[in-house]
Amino acid sequence: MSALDEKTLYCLRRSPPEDFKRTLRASLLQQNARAAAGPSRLMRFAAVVVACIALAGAFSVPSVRAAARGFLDMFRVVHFAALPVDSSSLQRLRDSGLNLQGLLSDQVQVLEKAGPPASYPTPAAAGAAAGFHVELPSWMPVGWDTEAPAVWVTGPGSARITANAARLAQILASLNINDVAVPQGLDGRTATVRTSPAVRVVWQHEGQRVELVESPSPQVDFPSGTDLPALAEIGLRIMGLSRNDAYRFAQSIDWRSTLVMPIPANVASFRQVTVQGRSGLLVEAARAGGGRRGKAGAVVFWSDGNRVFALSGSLGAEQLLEIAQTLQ
Amino acid sequence: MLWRSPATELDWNAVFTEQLPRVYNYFGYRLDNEADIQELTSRTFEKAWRARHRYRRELAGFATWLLRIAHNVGVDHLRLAREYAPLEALEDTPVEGAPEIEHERASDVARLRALIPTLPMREQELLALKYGAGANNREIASVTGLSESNVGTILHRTVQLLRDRW
Repeated sequence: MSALDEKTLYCLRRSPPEDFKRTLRASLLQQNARAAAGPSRLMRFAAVVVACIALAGAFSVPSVRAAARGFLDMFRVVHFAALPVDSSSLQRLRDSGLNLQGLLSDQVQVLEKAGPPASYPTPAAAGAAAGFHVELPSWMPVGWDTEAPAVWVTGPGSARITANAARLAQILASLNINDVAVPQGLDGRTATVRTSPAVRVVWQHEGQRVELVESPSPQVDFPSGTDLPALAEIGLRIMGLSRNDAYRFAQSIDWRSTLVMPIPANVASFRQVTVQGRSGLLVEAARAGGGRRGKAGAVVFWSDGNRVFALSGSLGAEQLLEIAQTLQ
Repeated sequence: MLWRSPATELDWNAVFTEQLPRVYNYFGYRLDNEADIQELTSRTFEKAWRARHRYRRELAGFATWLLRIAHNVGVDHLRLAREYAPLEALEDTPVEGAPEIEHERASDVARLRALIPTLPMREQELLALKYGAGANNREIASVTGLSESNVGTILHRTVQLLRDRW
C-alpha cells in the first residue's frame, strides 16, 4: 500500500468514456442548432399582421397581462400572432363612449362556469385532476427552487355566443365606420366556446416570479359557412385600422387556428420566437411610465398543436425563453 | 468548431474539450455511480450552454463559472437524494468515526473511495473540487463562497485526517 501523497489523492481522476463524450457533444450541438433557428418567414409576416377578435366579443383591448390570463377562453390555438395597436386609435375608441362589453353581454350565454382555481400540492396532483401530464421546465436560473412551486387548476368552462347583426351595425355606426358591411346571414348564428382544465404553476424567488399556464387548446365551434375573415375585418376596423390594412390582414390570417393578441404599441413590444421547434410569440411589457430601466416583464405564448402554453415572469425575456425551451 | 458564442467570443469547442474532464471528475470524486456522474456532467454543460449569455468574462474565469454551475447541480441532485445538504448548511456537520475497514483494499482507489464518505460533506466537496476538478484554492473559494485562506486551511486539515486514517 502506497502512502497518501498528493499523487494518490488525484488517483480517482480518469478520462470520460468516449461514447459519453460523443453523446454529450451531439446533444449540445442539437441544442445549439435549435437555439440558432430563427422564426420562419411565414411567422415573421404574421408578426406584422394586424387582426382582431370579432366574434367572441371581448373587444376592449386588454393589457398584455389580461391577455395572458384570458386567451384560453376564446380560441382553438395553434398559432399566435400579434396585433400592434396604435394607442391613439384605442383612445378614440375609449373616447367614443361605446360600451362594447355592455352591448355584447346579452349575446354571451355561459353554459358552464370554470369556477375559482383550486390549489394542489404538486404539479403531478394537478395534472391528475386536470387530466393531462403537466409539462415542467427541467431548468430554472441558479437559485430558483424547481421542486416546490404553487399549483392551481381551473376547471373546464363553456359559453355560447349568438351573433346580433343589428347590434354590430349599431357599433359600426357609432364609430362612423360606413365602408364595411355586416355579413349576410350572420344574425342568430351561434358559436360555442369550450375551455379545458388549465394548470397554473408559479415559482417565486427573491421577489421575482415565474408563472406557467398550460391547457389543452380551447375549442370554438363555428357554424359552417361563417365568414370569419369578414368578421375579423370588422373587428380590425373597430380597432382603428384603415380599410385596406384591415382587409389585407384579415385575409392573411387563418382565423380557425390563430390567436391574435392586441399589443398596444406604447405598452409592449413583441417578436416571433421559436419554442421547442414551434413558433411562438414573445411579448415584453414596458416599464410603467416609460422608465429607462428596460422591460417590466415578459410573456411567451406557444402551442404544440394540442396544448397551449403561456410562460410569464419578471425575468428577462431571454431567460424566460430558456426556461420555455426545457419544458418536458 | 462545435460552436462559438458571439456574446463572449468563447470557443466552446475548446471549452468542451478542456472542461469536460474537470466536471466529470468533480462528480466522479463524489459519486460512485457512473450513470449519475454522466447525468450530472451533461446537466452542467447543458445549463452552461443555455446560460452562456449570462457569463461575464470580467467577473470570473470560465472554468470557475462552469464549476459553480456544477456545484449547484450537484447540490440540487444530492440534496434530493439526501446524500448531502448545501455546503453552507453543513458547517457544523460532525465528523463521523471512520468505519473500520474490514479488509485491506486492493488498491489506493478503493481505499480512497472508502475513506471519502467518512468525511464531513463540506470537506468532501472541497476535495472533489481540488483533486477531482483540479481547481486551485482561489477557484474553490469563488465556487463555494469560502475565503481562500479558509479553503487552504480546511483542505490541509482534511488531507491530514485522511492520512491519519489511511
